[in-house]
Amino acid sequence: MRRSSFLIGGAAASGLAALGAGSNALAQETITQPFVNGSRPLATFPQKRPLILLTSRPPQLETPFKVFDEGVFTPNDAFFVRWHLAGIPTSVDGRAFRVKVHGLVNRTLELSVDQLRRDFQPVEIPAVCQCSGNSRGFFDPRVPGGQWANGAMGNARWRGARLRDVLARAGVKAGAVQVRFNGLERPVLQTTPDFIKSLDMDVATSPDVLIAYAMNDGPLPLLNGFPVRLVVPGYFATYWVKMLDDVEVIDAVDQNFWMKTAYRIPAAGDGCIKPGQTTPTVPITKMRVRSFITSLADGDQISPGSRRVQGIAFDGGSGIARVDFSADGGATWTQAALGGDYGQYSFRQWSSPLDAQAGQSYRLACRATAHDGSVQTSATCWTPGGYLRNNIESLSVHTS
Amino acid sequence: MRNRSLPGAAASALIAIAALLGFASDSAAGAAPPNPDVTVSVTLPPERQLFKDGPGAGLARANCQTCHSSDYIYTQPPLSKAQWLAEVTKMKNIYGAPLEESQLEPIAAYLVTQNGKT
Repeated sequence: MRRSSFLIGGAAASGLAALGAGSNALAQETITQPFVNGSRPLATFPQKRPLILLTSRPPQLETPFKVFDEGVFTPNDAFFVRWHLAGIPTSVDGRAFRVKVHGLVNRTLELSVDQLRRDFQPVEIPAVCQCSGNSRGFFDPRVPGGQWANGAMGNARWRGARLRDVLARAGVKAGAVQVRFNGLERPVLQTTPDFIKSLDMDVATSPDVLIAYAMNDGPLPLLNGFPVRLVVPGYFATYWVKMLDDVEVIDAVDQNFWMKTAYRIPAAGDGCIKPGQTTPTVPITKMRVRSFITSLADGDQISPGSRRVQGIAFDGGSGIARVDFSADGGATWTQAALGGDYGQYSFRQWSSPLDAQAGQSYRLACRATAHDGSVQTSATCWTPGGYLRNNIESLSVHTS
Repeated sequence: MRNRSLPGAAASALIAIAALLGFASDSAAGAAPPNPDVTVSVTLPPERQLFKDGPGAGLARANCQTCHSSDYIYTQPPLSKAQWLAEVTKMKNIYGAPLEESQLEPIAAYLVTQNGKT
């Protein structure tokens, strides 16, 4: 059986899928992000096409932005990678893997991936997964942390079991306050805080939070959390715990480092402050409305004539109501045509005509409005953690 | 339903192949995903060694790289001595790096020579 499946399907179909990095894993080709110290090699990691190498260990890989023009969903082999701690297993047995559900529950569960697939209703949700620090490299003044341009995000169709169905199977006891999530990712030193995230009960038991075992109809790449990860549509990726193997219902607000100290934003107002201000903080949660041009890049030379400029937009879960496009740096706007609607958590593609005259420069910009009424503005948001950037993005193109 | 357009024999063969490939055939939500019941093993590429020689390089190599690759330093924006000292102190106090107090300043001084600003 195994032998013939190997012949039919290749290594992925065999019981052991050994995925090595090629000898040219660290390729010579480099790209330059548009900020100081922005030089990055392209590197090929297992199960991935060449991606922008931010850091090697733990690996952080950014999606080249042109990928977002290929379609509304981000291919698994191009999906960005971000780990916090270097203790990542490089071999995971999907058959032996168990998700333990424990804490303030009537019955402790240890669920195999097969049980998650067969014993619970499968649910599929298209949703954007965006790193909290996406676009941090553009902050002014700069902020220490992972220096991403705009490619620490992706959109996928996530399929899995509802967390609330799993919690119902375990039976949540009275007094539950939060659910705490841990994965196989471990610190190198015992003195380093393990990467653990928690959600309030009302979020954890909302119908769209999944323990996902499939991504765009395939298994999750190991670097994206094989075999299962938490999916929290609308929320920043910090909560989307990879290789999720521990779900604990707790009776108080989690005080661990990754909730109490890290991944926090200013509590007041819209969360944006002036550099140097100090304010009380709260955990980062929902994403803000954003939009990007994907069919052209800053500095592109284009031929004169008519074309459609294409892009994407998304928000924190209300869905995109409209996108406006400007070819004159935001002086005038025209409403763009929206592409297919894959649900309120997905990228929404948009397009708008551009009639380019010879010998001209055009400052192109896009502005998304979400169904909750939030709209992008030209004001930049500054936060101490380098989170929440969502101002109107623009780029220049030139005709010959 | 799923294979309605296919002749019976072809449909059966497809399902058999799907089973061989480890695809579930009974999922309720559209096309069945590949079965994740396999062992996935990967080999990560070697990391970049970027710390250049200079006073303090030995300390940085011996300590910073315990938990992360050296590109974590060089991809940051240029930081001042005070900012690097804050980062190194964070590594000791928050992330538990086994550094002596006396090692913090020399490491920060070295990092400024590598990726610093005044």
